[in-house]
Amino acid sequence: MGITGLLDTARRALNTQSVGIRVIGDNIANVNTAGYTRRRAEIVSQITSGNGDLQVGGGSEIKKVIRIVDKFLNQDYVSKLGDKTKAQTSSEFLKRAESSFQLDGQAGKIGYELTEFFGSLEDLASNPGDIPLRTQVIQKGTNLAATINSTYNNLATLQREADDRIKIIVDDVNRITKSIAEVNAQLAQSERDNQEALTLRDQRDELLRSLGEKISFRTVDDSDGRTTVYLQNGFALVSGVNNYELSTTPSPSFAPSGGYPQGLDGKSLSHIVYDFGAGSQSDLTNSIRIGGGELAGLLEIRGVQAITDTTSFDTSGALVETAARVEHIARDLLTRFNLTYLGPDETPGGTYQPSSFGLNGTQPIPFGLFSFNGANSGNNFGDSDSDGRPENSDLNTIATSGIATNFASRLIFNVTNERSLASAIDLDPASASTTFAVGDSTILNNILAQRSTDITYSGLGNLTVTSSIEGMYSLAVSNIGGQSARSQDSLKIFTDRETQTRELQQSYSGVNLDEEFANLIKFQRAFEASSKLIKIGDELTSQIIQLLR
Amino acid sequence: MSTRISTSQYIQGFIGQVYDTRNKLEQVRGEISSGIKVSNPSDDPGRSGTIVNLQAVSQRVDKHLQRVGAAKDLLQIQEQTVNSSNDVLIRAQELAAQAANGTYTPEVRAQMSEEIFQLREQLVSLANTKHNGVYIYGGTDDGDQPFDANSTFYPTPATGNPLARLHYQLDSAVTSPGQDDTRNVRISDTESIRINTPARDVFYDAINAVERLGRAMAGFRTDLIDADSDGVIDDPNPAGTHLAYTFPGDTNLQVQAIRDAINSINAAKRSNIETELSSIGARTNRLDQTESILATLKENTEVARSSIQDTDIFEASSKFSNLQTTLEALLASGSRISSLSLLDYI
Repeated sequence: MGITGLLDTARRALNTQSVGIRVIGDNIANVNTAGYTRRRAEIVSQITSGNGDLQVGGGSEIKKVIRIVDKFLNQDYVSKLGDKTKAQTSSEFLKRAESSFQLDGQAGKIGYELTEFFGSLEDLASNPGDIPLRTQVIQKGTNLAATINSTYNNLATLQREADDRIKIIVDDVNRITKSIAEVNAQLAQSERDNQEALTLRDQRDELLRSLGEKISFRTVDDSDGRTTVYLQNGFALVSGVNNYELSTTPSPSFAPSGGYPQGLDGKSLSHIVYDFGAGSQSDLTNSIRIGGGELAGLLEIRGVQAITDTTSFDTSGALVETAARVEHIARDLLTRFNLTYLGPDETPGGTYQPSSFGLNGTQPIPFGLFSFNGANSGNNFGDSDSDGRPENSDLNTIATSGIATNFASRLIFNVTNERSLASAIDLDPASASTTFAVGDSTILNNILAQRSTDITYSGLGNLTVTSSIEGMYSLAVSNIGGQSARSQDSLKIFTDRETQTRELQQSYSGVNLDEEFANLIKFQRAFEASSKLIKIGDELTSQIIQLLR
Repeated sequence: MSTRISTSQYIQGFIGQVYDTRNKLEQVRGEISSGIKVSNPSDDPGRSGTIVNLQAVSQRVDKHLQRVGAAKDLLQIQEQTVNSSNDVLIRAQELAAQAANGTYTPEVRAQMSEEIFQLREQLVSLANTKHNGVYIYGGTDDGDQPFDANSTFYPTPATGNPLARLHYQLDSAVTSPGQDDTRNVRISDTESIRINTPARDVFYDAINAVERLGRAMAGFRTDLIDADSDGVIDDPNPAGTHLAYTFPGDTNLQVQAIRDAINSINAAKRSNIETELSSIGARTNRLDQTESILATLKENTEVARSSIQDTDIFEASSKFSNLQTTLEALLASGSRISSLSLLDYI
């Protein structure tokens, strides 16, 4: 130990301070880098050297550069992020869904068109022979059917979009888990001598965050620094250097024998599965839905099918609930209103003999006022059991035969000729002859009486409700409004929580420029002082050399 | 140790606050410009159903009001028609009173009958009035005119004024069902009102009475027969009932027939025409009342809907200026704080 020792100490100190400055430089340079955690050079005092009683330290050295990171805070943040993206996805879809139910009281909303249609019938009832008034009824009826079509189709399209996005997100999840597995592999190679591979770990944390936006999961780190990622139900997505890819399929191995029912648009919905090969698939759909992330939000909106589901309307989910209400309106028009349109049965007990007449003496067919696209494809214009009555059982037969799963998107107003619109009733039902008065409005008044009659709507999903047909629309509006408001509320709550956690996490791991500048000064001064040490050492050494001269 | 704030945290927080305030500002601006606070069901899910119901009520009331207006128009036309018929009958009564005077010769009476037949034509055309393409006295068979001319009903006279030979009759119930039915218009959710009266109830007796008067004054017997009491004079009438009087022997018979016809006209006027006029008056009154009830209902409905759905402009504007101030302060403080950096001092 001597003056050379001082020079050694000074050299190490210079090295230490310059590495410190470099670390600060790195921090400053990455102040805006997403996922960057601030670093700190961990400085330790050099082991003491010397003998006897006197022990003098050898200065300082950088033991390692560490990431300032709280693992639990990070995990918490990832899960809050998932909650937020889930709520964000739901509220985005529901906002779009409720656009068909806006409260502007304008054309294009089912409620408005129902009132207009019934209003046109009231007008016609005061002068049933009037052709312009009949034209108006046809126009309003056609508008009503078209509005029901578009309202339902909007919901069905959103469900399909959610289903398509589920497939894309599953691909994303697979891509991210693959990257995590790759980072795991690289970590094992590059982490040696107690020094963490800082950037790789930052990268992995960032990957875990992106994964958290899509799906909720848990992680466990092993002693080699490799992260295992697994789903809530224990299924591993990443284990060591391997990742396990999820896939989507419309016909999984666990489907019921008749297959799952279709989506609202009549096409299949996909299930998220893990394929073990040899035809064995494990269903992950429900456990993913329960968690957070965009995938859970999409599943919540699109709905998840249960093994006991028999129709499109048994599926869970906000879109399906509202669509079921619209479908009820369509089916009510197809059954109750069509039946009223036929007039009282002239031959009770047998095939229904309608008693209503149009101006031109024509009598309506069972699905005469409202019908649906595809009604004539081999099912007797909708009356599949040929008993002359428009019934729910006819519709169910058609639904199970696969011709149509829904009627709201296929509903049409079936009267095209003004003179065929039936308004009058047979005046002598007993005789075989048909006598009717042109100005008779019995049928129109009968239909109008049904308008305010409460009936019990049931049979689609879990919904059972007693209401009038216009009341049913109000219920649909409150339903979608309630769902959408709830999702917006949870978005607010989860966004706040996410912000809080992010701030905590940022407050812990983020770079603060002022702090870095302060540290910079600290290291700069220390560097200056260390150089001074060298100078002093140099002077001391030269004095000794001069003494020796 | 005080809370550590990282630089990006500060900037993100600042951006978040600006974004939040701008969002709120945009929402309030939308509320002000559209005048509507609740435009999506989710804006107030609890009351969105109520809003839909109230909108439907006011839409229905609008329709009812339209129909009430149309019904009033129609009743007004009927009132004019019936008033004109009344005038025609009064003129017929005046002529008949003159003709019943014994000083007139049969020839003069026959000349006066020309005007009576013209008056009958007027009555028939009033009964066959068409409005909006329908015969307003046609019952529910309103595509078909209620009174048709039968030119072979009276075989006499074989020559001369063809109007004297004409008989006007209602359509048969078999070929025109519904001619005696009434039509109702819905004027509220629960009420309907009758907007027509069948021709039989208003004009049938009057036209027949005037026809009898004309025939009697023209010099023909008028003891026409309705053997089956179905309200329609039998066709063909039993022989002899429509033959010409022989003057001077039948003068008294003719005068008596004219007096009978005057009585029939009086009866028709009293029991049909005047009754119809007062009925029209009563129904017009009811329509007026309904109209004012509906107008009040619409106003109340609109007020109720507006209180739930529409923007309170005063509240919204003060909210808007508050938010504006907040945003300005936020931006000012943001730029001032971000300019504070240690970098400037070292």
